[in-house]
Amino acid sequence: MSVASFLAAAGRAIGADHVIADPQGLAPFAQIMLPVPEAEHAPAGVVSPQSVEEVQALLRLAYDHKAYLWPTSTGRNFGYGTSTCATPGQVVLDLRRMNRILDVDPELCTALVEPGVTYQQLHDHLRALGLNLWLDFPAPGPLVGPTGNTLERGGGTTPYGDHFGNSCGMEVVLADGTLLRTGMGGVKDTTSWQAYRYGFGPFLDGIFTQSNFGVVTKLGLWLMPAPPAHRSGMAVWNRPEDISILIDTLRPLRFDGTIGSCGTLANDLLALASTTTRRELYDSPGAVPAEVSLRAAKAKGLGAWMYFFSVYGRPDRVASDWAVIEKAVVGAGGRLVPDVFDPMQVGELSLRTFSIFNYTGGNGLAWFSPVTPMRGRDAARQMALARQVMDAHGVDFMTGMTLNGREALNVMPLVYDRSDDAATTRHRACFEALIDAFAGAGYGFYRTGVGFMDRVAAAHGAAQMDVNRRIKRALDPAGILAPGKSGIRL
Amino acid sequence: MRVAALALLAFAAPALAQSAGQWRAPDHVWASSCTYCHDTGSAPRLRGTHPDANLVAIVARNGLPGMPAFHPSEISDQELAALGAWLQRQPAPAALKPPAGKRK
Repeated sequence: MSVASFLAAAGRAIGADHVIADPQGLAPFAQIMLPVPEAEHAPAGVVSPQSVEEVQALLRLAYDHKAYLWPTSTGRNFGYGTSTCATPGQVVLDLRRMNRILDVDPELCTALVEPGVTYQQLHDHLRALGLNLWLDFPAPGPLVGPTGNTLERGGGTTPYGDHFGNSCGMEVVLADGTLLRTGMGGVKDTTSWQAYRYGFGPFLDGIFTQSNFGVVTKLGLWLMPAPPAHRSGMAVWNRPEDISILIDTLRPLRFDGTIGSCGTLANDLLALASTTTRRELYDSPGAVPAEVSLRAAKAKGLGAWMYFFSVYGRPDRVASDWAVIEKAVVGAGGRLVPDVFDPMQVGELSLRTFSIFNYTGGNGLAWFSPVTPMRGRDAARQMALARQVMDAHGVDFMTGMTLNGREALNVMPLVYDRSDDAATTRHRACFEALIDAFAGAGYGFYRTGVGFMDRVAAAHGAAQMDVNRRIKRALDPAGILAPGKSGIRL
Repeated sequence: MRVAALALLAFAAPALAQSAGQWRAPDHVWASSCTYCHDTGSAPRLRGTHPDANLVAIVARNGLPGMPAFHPSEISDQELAALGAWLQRQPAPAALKPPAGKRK
């Protein structure tokens, strides 16, 4: 009983063309952008089923052969682990070939998709059907898909930026092959699977996100009707300390719906990094000093903070909301630059964020992602804390926040050259120090990548870890699925 | 009627049959993935440079710093070979498409 015998049996079950076992074929799946050793997270094989029945057959074989399966949808998850596993030697259960769009309901504005469907594919499909519905894209939009991103509880920038919050109904294969449809999906001949999220009794969908309790094989989505009008802009504040007043100014406008988008709040270095190389900006060791990035930003007409946002609705509402925002931003010492827009806030696909890789020219990216209660003083405290830890490790300070329900997701990319071993070691130490510093200050985390899951899970308390373990033992008693995901093991 | 029926079939196809082999042709692959970086200035321009088809396939399959690897379940060896052959024939675009939207 071994991975090799599992892969051989898997080849017989789903076709040898859909099994990868050779080192050359596996190499791309072992690539990792995080500052952790590839060998600690390398998969031992890849199996790519095309149906629920094949997923069930592979789970049975994994049980028989004592193999571990690490499910992925499109296998991207850039900066959180790509296709690599929490522990080495697991077999990637690659669901990319399961890519059927099963239903689009033009009346309820919903879709039902398989895990391999990409945002590009669904976007094209809606256009082909002539439906004026928008998707909310995560940063690598065209290359990734709604199932994987939603299951990681990823986010975007439109009013539908909370992807899990706008999902509705799942089909899940449990480790023993049981097929579960959540919510209204359990009703025979269901009419309402994508209409009502909560079903009857406990709401189960959450336990299949950021977890290893089952393999999600279908996901329902709510889609945004394209607004009749919209307008985008950039609000700029010039001083790093303005973070406090700008959050306290934008919060009520988000809460009352004046600013419809979650938007993106970028600091100066993040805005610069997509068009400037580090060498051009600061060709010295140590973190880019705050005054250097601010000076460079001002030279390009930017400031210390840029909030890219959009307003949506009927034309009169857009004009009226815009005027309210302009008055508030100017009143809080900022300025408003109209009609600068992020395509993904208005239903257009883009990969513009990928230009961040040109900053160092390397492949190193790790997202440090604490949750910020949406208060100015907490945002200011987090920025100071992050800056202090990063400066101490010689790591450049970048952040891109989205302003959501009552929180902002303070998503900070650590961008480095992964071919530089010293830089990789330094960024790993920095990432761990950031987790400890933020947890020590009473903050929790929205998401993390392989290599950091145990530490982040521990920061959320022993009771949560224990309950997760008990659920794991109940639903996957042999521990076949993704051991170590989010720190959860038998 | 025949044209209409064919059009309907084409319409229905994406929902029912975009399984493995979702790509219609190399220009579909290009317009759905490559163009976002290689026609916008955020990655090297390829159209009009007549790159070696084998090299295109190897790089796309294995990635490079700043460029993700594209897995066989996403694009098959045959589809990659066709993409490489197509790219080799492409003339330079008239002008680089600016990134969608204004600079962020």
